[in-house]
Formats: sequence, C-alpha cells, structure tokens
Amino acid sequence: MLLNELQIIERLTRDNETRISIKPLIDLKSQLGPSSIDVRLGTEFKVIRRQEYTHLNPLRKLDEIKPDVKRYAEEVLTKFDPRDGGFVLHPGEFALGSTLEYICLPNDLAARLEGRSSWSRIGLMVHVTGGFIDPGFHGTITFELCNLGKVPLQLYVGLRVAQLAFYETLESLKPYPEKMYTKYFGQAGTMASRFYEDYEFDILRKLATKD
Amino acid sequence: MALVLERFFRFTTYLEEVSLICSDAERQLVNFLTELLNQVDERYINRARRILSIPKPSEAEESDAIESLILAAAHMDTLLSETEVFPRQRPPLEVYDFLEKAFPEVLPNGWQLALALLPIYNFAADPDLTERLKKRLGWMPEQPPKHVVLYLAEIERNNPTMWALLAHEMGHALGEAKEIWQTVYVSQTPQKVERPYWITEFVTDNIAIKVLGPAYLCAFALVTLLDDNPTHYSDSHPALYKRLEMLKQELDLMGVLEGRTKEVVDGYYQLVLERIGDKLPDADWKYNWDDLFRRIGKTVNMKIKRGRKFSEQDRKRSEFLADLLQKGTPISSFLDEKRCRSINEKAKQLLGDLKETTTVNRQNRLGEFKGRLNEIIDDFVEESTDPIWVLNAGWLDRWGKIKERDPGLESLSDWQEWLRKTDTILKKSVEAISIHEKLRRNKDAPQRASNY
Repeated sequence: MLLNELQIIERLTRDNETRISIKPLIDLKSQLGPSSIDVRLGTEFKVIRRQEYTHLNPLRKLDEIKPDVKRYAEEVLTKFDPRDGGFVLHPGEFALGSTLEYICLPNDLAARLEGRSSWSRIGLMVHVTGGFIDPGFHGTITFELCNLGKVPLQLYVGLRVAQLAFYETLESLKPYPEKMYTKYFGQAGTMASRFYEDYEFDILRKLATKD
Repeated sequence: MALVLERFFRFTTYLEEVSLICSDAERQLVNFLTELLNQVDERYINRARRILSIPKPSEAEESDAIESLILAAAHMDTLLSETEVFPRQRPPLEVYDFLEKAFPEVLPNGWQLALALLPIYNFAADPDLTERLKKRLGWMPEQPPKHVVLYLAEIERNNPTMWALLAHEMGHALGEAKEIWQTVYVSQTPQKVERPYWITEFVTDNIAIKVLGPAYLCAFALVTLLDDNPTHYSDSHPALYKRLEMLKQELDLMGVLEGRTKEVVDGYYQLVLERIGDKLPDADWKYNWDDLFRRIGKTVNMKIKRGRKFSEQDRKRSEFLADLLQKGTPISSFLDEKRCRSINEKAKQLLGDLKETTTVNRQNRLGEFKGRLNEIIDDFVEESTDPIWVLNAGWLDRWGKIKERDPGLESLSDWQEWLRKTDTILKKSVEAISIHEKLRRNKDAPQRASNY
C-alpha cells in the first residue's frame, strides 16, 4: 500500500521503531505531496573521469579494482552558496549525487525514489534504475544523475529534485542491514559503486585465473 | 617514503595484535591515529608528530618497537612541515558556519571570519590575512576592515568533536575586540601580574567553555592527554592542566555538570590527572588562582552579555541527541517531543475518521478533513539542531562507546570504521544544519502561494 500524505505524517511522528526518520526535514509544508515527500540535493557529487580509463574490469583483484573505482570517480564538493556556481551537469553526463537528507526506514516500509516532473521536463534523471530502497535502510539516498537534455543544467545544493514514495509491507524478516552483502547501509554522502564486491565476481575471478 | 609507509603498516599491525594495551586513555588516542594512518599515503605524514604522546606499553621490547617507528615518523614530520605551510583547498564552509552560529552577535560589525587548515597539529588565530592566504581563499576586493583567520589542524577537519578547539581561537578575537583581558589585567595588583599573556589564554578558554560547554573541556582534555608534557608552561601559555582546572571549575559554576555529562567530564578530567600523576611542577608564580579564575569568569560574563551561553537545557538536549547517535540516527533537525506526540494523535484521529466515514459523508466533510490536515501540516515544523548540541552529543556518544567496550570493536580497524562513521554523521549534521538555517533565514524571499 502506497502511503498518502497523512499516513506519511503519522509515520514521521511515531515514537517507536516503525517511525520514518528524515533529517533534516527543512520544510514539510513545501516538501509534502499527496503521496510522497520531496528530497533535496546534497553537497557531494562524483563524476566519472572518462579520459583516464578504457574500461573497468571487475575481474581484477579486489585490492586493485577498489582504488581503480575510487580514482575513476572524481569528487566534487559544492556548498549552499549560489555564488559558488553550483554543480553543472552537462548534456549526456552521468554523475552520482546524494540527498541532503539522511533517511531511516522502518522494517515494514519500502520506498521508491522518483524524479520530480518539473526537473524531468528539462531532462534531469535522478536515478538510472536504482531507485528502490529496502525496508530497514539507513543513510543518504544516492542520486544517479543524468542530463538527457540539450543544455547543461546548473544544480544547487538544497534543491528539491526528487521525491520519495513509501510502500507499506508486512514487516521484513530480513531487512536491509541483515541482507547478505549489504554495501551501502549507513552511508552519509555520495558513495561510489561497489559492484565488484558481488560474490559472483569472486567466482568469476577464481575461474578466470584457473588454468 | 616507501620505508615509512612500510613502517606504518607494521605499526598498524602491531596495534591490532596488541589491542589489549589500549587502555581507556589510549583508546581516545586512537582517534588521532585513525586519521594519521588513513592519510599516511597521501602526503600528510607530518601529522605523525602526535603519536609521540602514546603512552608506552609495559614490555620493553614492545616499547622499543613503537619508539623507533615514532622517531622515524617524527623525522618525516620535520621534513614535511617545512615544505608546505598553507592548505591547497579552500576551507570547509561548514566549520565557518558552525562558528557563526556559536558566536551570534558577538563578533563586532564589519568583522569577517575565515578558516584555514594547517598541515601541522596546531590551532591558531590570526588577526589579519596574509597576501598568500587572501589568494588561497579567493578573498574579494571589498574587504571588511577587520578579519579573523582561524587555523584548524587539517588532521581534524573531519573530526567535528575537535572543532570545539576553534572556540578558543575565536575567543582570542573576541577578547581583543572587547578588551576583556585588559580589564582583568588592570584589576590585578602589579606584583601579581607575572606572565600577562597567561591571562589572555585563560580568558579565551573561559569564553570558549561558556559558549560550547562540556564539548570544549573534552576536546581540551584530549589535547592535554596527547601533549608530551601537560605540566609544562611558558611565558605565553600556562600549563595545560591548569587551564583544564579552570575549565572544570567554570563548568561547575555554570551548573551544567549533571547526569551523563558529569560522568563524561569527570572521566576525561580524571584521565588527565592520572597522566600527570605526581609530576606537578613547583608553583613559582604568585597568582591566587581561585581569585584569578573568579575574576576572569566575572569579566567575561560582563563583557559578553549578548553571547550565547551553554545552559542546562543544552545539556539535556545533547544527552538526548547522543542517545539518537548511538542508534545511528542523524541529528540535524528535530521536532519537539510534545508537539510530535500531539501531531501523531491528530493524524491518527483523522486517519480513523477518514476510514469510518462513508463515501457520501466524506464529500460533505471534505472541507473539514482538509482543514484538519492543513492544521497538522502547519504544526509540523522541525527546528534545526544547534551545532553546539551536536558537538556535545558527539563527545557523549564517544565516551559511551569507550565505556561500553563493545566486543565487536576490539580491533583497530573496527574502531576506525566506527569513528569514521560517527564523524561523518556529525559532520553531515552540522552541514545540514547550516543549509536548514540558511533556507529558513531567507524564507522571506518572495514565494508562490502554497496549495496547502
């Protein structure tokens, strides 16, 4: 069941572990929609340094690929100051960002990150299929930003570029922190992908080195 | 470089193997080590200076092994600290914002604050900008008549609990602007005025503790613990332990030492006393300490009337936030507890009424329902947390973890991971608070009418 505005408020004000926590919740009045709550753009971005790599090979050794991925993404820090110029996302460019808000979901709620129509209309995508948030998740939500428009977009910290919708489920018996190979629990800021930690790659790495 | 890195690697391994040597005091030092070891491959080896203060383990062999590594690191320190004086990056704005909030209205008109990072372990205040720093900070031509540049040890840039030390540096600027130490100085009889600079230091400490409360004492205690000789004094600076004594006394006078806060402050103070042992220096000065401290406290109260003071209410809020931190919950904004309960009640009632109402009735009562919903939304206003509470909550939380001795945190890497996470949450909280405040402060900007 998708929560409506009243149910969202009720969840935000509970005093037990079934509470939704969104911090900071700067202005509920402007952030609350009929069945969603807007979230804001945070200060950290990661852009891909395309010029430095031909490809990422996840079958390399873990201790080799990890720094590789780290180098692959250039960190850009912005601040809440329009004079600073914000973060410019060029047409066709892909970047990671994160919500300003740190979100804690209870074990009986899943959430979906969705774009806001106003931003979508000028070509801004806020996620590239990774918009589902598991029950029990704690942390900032990662934006997979992409500019599909024809002109560069200047993005500023604090803008409401996306929204979260909440879905009530039966209480999960294996919420996100208990999920096998949890990678992003408790993240605060923009974290690069850790796709190479998937266990399948361990097997593939083993097979690749076998004579 | 490779040799030093290799030595540090051995040093980390060594610490992991003998984690038992980490007594409570040493646990706190790990905070510094964490940063050091994280950064050691990134040209900041000079930070190694601080590990000189690690208490020696009991067995001689272990002691030797550590010492040789430390000496190597200390040597690197000397080499590198000469090569780079100014930071390459602009200072992190959130620290600046934190100070703005911590010292509301007390900075004289026209003054501006800047923050710079130092590659050595030092905190300092400078009344003016050098040409070089102006360039680094991208300083604008419309310069205000006066600047205060605060320097933060770069190693602490991601450790908000230690930002508290900047309050002392801020105190230097305020003390000068408000002529506080001159007043204390004049009130002393001439024969007692030995080492006048000491008064400056005590005054600035007094300002800092009044604004930040226990967070300042805890940060200061940690620095005292790390110092090679906390009983050492010079013409410019009184001994660290003496300053700590005044801070403790002042906190007592402020009446904020109760419950968990008292336990934490006493705990840190006790650690320092244990470290000093019986090595107290002979009193070769003629101050009547109690009288001097009282005089300083009184003068600061008189001169900085508009300054924010740490209060009993702040203490309670910090303890509450520390509980949230221990549950891994962010603490950048909060809804008053009573209001939260009342909103929840109203929302539940409205939800119940909506469910019970038939379709026909619902149409008739739609206006009423909307009105009730609007009332609930209007009532839901989250306040941004005071960054000072965040700093204090950080110290309470840290102490809780040390005392708890979580068996899962036995290895150094677990401990590092935990520190990294809590520091990030604290830092993000302060950052979010500053954005929250700015958005709210500028809410008067013309806006479209809301649909709600």
